[in-house]
Amino acid sequence: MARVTAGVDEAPAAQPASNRAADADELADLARAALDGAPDAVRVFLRKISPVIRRTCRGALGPGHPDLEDTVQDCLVDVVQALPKYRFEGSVLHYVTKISLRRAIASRRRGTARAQHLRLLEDLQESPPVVDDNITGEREQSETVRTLIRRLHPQQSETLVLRVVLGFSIEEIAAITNAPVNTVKTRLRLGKNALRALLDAHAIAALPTGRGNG
Amino acid sequence: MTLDDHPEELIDLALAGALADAERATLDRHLVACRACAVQLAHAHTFAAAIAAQPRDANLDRRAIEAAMGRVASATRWSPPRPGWWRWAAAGVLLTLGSAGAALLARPASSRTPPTVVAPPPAPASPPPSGATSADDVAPSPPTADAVEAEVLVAPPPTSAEAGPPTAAVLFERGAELRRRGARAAAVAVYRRLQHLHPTARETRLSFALAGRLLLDAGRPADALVQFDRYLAGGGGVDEEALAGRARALEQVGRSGDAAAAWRTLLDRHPQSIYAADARARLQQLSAPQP
Repeated sequence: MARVTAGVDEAPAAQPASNRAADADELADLARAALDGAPDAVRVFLRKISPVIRRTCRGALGPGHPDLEDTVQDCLVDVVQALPKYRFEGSVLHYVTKISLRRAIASRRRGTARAQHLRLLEDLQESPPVVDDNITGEREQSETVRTLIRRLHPQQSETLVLRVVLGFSIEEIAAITNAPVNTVKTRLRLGKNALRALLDAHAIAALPTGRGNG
Repeated sequence: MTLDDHPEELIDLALAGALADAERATLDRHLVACRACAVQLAHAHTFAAAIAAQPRDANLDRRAIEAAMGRVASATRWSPPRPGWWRWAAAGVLLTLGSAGAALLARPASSRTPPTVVAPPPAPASPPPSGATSADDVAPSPPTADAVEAEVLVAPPPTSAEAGPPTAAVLFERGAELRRRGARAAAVAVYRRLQHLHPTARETRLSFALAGRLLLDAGRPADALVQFDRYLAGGGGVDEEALAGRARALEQVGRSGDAAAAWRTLLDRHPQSIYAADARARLQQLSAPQP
């Protein structure tokens, strides 16, 4: 499963650990340069982190969401404004991911009604792409799952988006959210229990794809 | 295992395709009763596909970045974002006409920096040059700059909060603060002190590029070249800027052939760089027959 932690653009498994460390150092250097405030340095830093922000927003909002670009923009501004508070003690990517995810979740909650309206307009203006019925079903179910996750308690919702949608490990979620691993496990357990109840109520079962089961 | 004990490790193994038979049986028993975990597994590939890169993402990123830059600029003292290379290129052209013209353009970066974004440093390394509180007050003057650098290098005033030599982070922040205040020579001096005291620190690596940029702005291309070369010897996150700065420094010291090679290196390594257009223009000019 693709991870957002990836250097910036590549899957972590595709890079040796030494390269990942070098990438992390490079990103920290770029962040320091951006902190200095020169526009060129800020732009270089933003270009480096924008793929991570985009993927995080897409994971939280869903693919094709009409607010995606605006939310990415908001996240970029948030990150620049938050940089002075960053203590360079953890991964810059984790810091960026945390900021982006919270902005994306808030954006989604705020803009649900508007997004539905815009989507309706898009549906009226564009021919729907031809896709396989099974794929359509999966996408609809995925979107429903995403929507149900957002109805959970904010911390559980954030943890489940990171785990289920973005594919982070528990340890990575702990680093991103600045929470102990046991706290993350608790949030994950409570969140999944709540999600299971919602799924049962909506009678949504997993598609019998058998994929990913080894 | 109860229904509420979600087997996260087994789910990770399943997603990695590394599940043993016994583990698969355990996981399957849980999945029958737990729709949350079943949905996570069944939709993993759909969620992964949803966050994967798409053809128009580069455009989306570019638009979002430029819009964000505009918003950040409007919230600070920046002028609207104008790539530093434009100023560098203009300064380079004017240098061929006369150093006085270059001095007018080669202003320090302080006029573009957002002071509200950066916390003040613990203490300045030394008082800035008299009256050097704005960009206009620090017109480059090599003898004065050298004097300031020497002063900072020879007699770094300790602050009451310091028991030993300042850390790399402290020096880096001092240099940044001096840059923001327009005290270019003092900033270079602090960066050089950082390089002397902490030769292996990550802040030092970045300081080579920053000092190179400051020295180039100050009309000292030979000194800038040394700094850019030291930065590029180690590499890092601002390679494009260092390569562009090095190329301009080479042009300004009259090494046209080396400058052309440096621009080509920039294009080879970073064909999508924001300096690419400038590099091509400079290459075209450098290859044009001289009158």
